[in-house]
Amino acid sequence: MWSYLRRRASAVGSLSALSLLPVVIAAEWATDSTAATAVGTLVVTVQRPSGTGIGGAMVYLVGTSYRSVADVNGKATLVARGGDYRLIVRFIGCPPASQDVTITEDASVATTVTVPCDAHDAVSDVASPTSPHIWLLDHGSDDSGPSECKNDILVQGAGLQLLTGNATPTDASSTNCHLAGLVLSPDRAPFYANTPADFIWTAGLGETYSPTLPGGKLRVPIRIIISDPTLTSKTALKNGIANAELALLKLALDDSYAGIELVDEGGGAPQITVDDVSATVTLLKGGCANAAAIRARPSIYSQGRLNVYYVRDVMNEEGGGAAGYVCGNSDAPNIIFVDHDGHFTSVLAHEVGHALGLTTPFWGHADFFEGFYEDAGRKMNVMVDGLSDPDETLPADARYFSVGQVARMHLGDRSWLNWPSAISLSTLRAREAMPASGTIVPCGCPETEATDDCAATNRDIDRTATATKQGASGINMACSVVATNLHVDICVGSTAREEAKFYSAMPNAQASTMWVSMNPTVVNALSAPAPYGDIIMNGDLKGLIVGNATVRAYADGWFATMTVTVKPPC
Amino acid sequence: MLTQRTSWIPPCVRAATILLALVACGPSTLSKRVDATVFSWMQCQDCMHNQRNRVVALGDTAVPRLRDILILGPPFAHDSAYVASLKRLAERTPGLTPVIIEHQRQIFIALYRRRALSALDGIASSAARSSLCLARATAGPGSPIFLAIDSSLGPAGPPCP
Repeated sequence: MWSYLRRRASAVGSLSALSLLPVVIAAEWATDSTAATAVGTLVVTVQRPSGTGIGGAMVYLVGTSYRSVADVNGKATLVARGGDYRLIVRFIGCPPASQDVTITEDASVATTVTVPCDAHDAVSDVASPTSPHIWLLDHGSDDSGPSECKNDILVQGAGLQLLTGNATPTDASSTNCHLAGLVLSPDRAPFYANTPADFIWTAGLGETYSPTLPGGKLRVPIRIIISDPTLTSKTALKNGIANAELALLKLALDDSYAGIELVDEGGGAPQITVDDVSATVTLLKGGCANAAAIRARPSIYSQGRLNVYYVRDVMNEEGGGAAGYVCGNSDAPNIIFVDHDGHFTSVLAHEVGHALGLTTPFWGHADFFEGFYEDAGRKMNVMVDGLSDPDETLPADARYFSVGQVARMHLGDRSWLNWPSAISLSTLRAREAMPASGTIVPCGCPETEATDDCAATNRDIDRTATATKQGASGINMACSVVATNLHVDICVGSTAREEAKFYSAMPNAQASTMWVSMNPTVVNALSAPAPYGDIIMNGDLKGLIVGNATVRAYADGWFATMTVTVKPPC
Repeated sequence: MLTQRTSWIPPCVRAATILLALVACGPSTLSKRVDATVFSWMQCQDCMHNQRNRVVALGDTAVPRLRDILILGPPFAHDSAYVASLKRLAERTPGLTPVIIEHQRQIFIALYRRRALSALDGIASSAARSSLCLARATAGPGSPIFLAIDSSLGPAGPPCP
């Protein structure tokens, strides 16, 4: 009616329209009143192809406000003016159905609408039907014509979730599709399968895939050790770690359905202890270069847990100044450093993300590529490394990991969860009786392109508290590195400049590079100048003692390996 | 010894003068590029992207902004946004009390100041050194930042005016 009023107002001029308003409204009412006496009834039966009624289906006539909801038997009644209409029937999770109908005044007509709801396969966690889940699926699908292979389909919700069509094991040419399913739950560890025998999909319809999730969360041991004898406010620091930093990490894991529970290795809540023994302080001051020595010190280190050290200064391969750092580049991802008097509240969560395999692309940093959700412009992904905005800072409540990131935490070959972490060389996942049936390894280039067994890290559900998605940074990521020489001989005391090249699928990659010696007592490795914007990275390798060493050339988290033999002084 | 050289002006008067000067001659003339580089260094967590070296490479161009941060801490917008985000976190973590929020804020402020000091130390020009001297004069003797600046200035260089 308002459009009618606007048209009239436009015709007579705005001022005179105001004076005519009561007349116009009276005229409309008169029309409605007349029409109310000339209506007919349409009884709609909404059913599946099998003939079962669909309760709760919405029925309405296009272009009108006439609408109704089907009862438990699938019947809905519409009372409308006589005339020809387009009837639409909608039911959540099903394609809409439509039909042309004619309503006769002072009469009742009936019609039946079949909604193609059986043209779907579905997923469900039968054991936990009311709990929300996130499903990440690879399978064939014919929802838009001939079947094709689909990758990283996201389905979210509680109870039975209809897929968009028929999930099939093959594409239109009968080529087998990659089949995989990752299921995230708020209160249990994820389920993952990627072997064809695990899946029920056929060319038929109406199949429901219902895997059995683990009984609880994956328990991940963690110990936090404060080590700085000059620090006088250890109690305040401990309170802050427990109630802000550790609390934020737990929230982020829970909000992301990571299915991880942080515990002490001996059971119970994570412990925060102090170790000011001078030898310990000296050892930790050396950072990741001392990873081997730290591992040999059971008073501060355990192979079976994440070892977090709050120290005075954090050393990294860039020369220090980091708020936190993980020794992943030294093959010790369960050794984490945090600068105790210069860090962000989110740094513990961020470093644990790295320890759990979020190391590529861009070293696992979410601020460099698009797709991560923001909350009113604030970057809320835990793996954002930092901002460069004079008006904005890294929020202390960064609170989520994407679905793709959680997938990598549990399934990635770089995640500490999948590393040998006991004398028996078993993984934590195996010891917790939660083995995954596969790990995800080969990723595309750039890595935002998902491949069969590599979910893109920015693959994610809609996050309700967030309104926007982060745009691209314009920087192209590196995704492979090749060393020019696979082996080099050097003498004690001499230095050799070696070269590696990093590559990207896109032009103009600008990688963050570094050289790391895996045997720092034998060979010292330092980044050397290279042409900026080029793909060349140089490293200076210096022989320290006679022996063999492995050196890695890193670019954005990827690396090439070379071996070095150090001979006696030339 | 350096403290004695500057003791003829009361510290509170000196600090107020410096703060007024900073407000009056603030960073409005600094380019966005300089700010982006400086704040990338202030806000990195792992700092694996060469952030500090990029600031040092700016040289004296970055000194005014770094001096501001060293003396005053993070810009007001950063400080207030950070505290607001801590308060949001507190809504979901009952143990995060106002006392802990303030402690977290102090760690955040210290991070900026230490990184500003580190970058000025790396630039090592006379302007950078003057900024360090200025900051030292405003810092409480014996405070962590005072000691850190003293350590950065070192005994070998020229004394602060």
